[in-house]
Amino acid sequence: MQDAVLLKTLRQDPGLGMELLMEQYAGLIYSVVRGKLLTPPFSGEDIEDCVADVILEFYDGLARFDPAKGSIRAWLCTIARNRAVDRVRMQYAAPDTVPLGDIPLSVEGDSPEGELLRREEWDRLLNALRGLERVDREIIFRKYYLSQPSREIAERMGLTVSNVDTRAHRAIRKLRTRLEAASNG
Amino acid sequence: MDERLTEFFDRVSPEELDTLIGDLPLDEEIGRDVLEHIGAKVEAAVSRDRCRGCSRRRPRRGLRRAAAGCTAAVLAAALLLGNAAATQATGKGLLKTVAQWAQSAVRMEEPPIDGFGEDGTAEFSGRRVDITTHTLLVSEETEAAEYCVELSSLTFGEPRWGQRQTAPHAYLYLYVDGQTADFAELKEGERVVFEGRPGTCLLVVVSTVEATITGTVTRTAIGASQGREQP
Repeated sequence: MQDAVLLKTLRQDPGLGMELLMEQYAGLIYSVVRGKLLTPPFSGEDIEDCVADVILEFYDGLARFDPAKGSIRAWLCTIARNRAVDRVRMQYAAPDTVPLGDIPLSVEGDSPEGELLRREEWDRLLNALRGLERVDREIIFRKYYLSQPSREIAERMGLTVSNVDTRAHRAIRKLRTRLEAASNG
Repeated sequence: MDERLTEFFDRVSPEELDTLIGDLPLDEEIGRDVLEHIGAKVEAAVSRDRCRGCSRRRPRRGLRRAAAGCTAAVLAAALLLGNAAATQATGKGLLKTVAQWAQSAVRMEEPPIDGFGEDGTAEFSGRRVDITTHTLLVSEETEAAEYCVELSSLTFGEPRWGQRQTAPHAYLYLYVDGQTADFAELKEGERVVFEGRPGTCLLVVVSTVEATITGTVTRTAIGASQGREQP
């Protein structure tokens, strides 16, 4: 279903809209969350809780949702990843007190130059990823965003495991080459 | 490279992500049972949210207009008045969803009062489960009248879904033609008078957890009651 139709349904008939939203995206949200909460101490219950939180958060923020700044799918993925990371952080939360010596006196990224360098590197990586073939981009997304193992990626994409591994390896090599070329050029 | 990609995907914005996955067929599937579990959790989370607002007596801004105190009451109103009316009354579309989800959870065990005795008094009693609503009265009024509600006993059950019931009172709402006309908190043994205007009056007792309530409603002419004892 197109975003515009889903948004209209969510606003006019929230019950139906929510059902459609879940039908369409709960699987993807689940995959994103599971990628972060796959190992103990997290359980299937934790994953389901987190998916429910993501859906609610999206719905609560519906009034602020701007389709020009990303599709519903991308927003849900982003919220899902953030909430899953939050859960991991909460689980392994560091103590409230930090030894004084552990506090860095300066951070490279805090300076305008550092920020600019980081931004440039970010854009280079984004462009390099965009330049990958569609199949390779999907493999990289599944591997690094959804944290899916090669076997699962192969199943989902109708490829062999060795094909997935080979393509991933080549795609990463391409990315590295392009990043080096971009930073030298 | 692994680290850079992981960091990149941890911080990528939705807009940027779209340029990477917009054309990918990412139709991830999950089992029906998992989907149902998630649906139930969404429902439970919504209910928890409402009840948390209730116990703090600080409902979220969008809901304050319709319900002075208990957001669970707005949910009840949504159920009782019909989704459209409640949604319009609160200006919060979410309620409609909540209402639809909660419909199966709310069970009305006793019918509302269907009439008053010769002295204008009717007794009510009942136990409600989950989101507790007790419709005391549905009446078509042609002229203004007063309803004096007295709660002779009120017992709460155990909170569910992480609900909290911190206040020893029930919430009473008077709705006239789908709009909140009056609101009060009523403890056991207390009495409150509502002024019912012409129109369809609906008097509802709400608690956020299971509750057993008994009491009386007395309908009198305006000014005939013995005053409001609890604002």
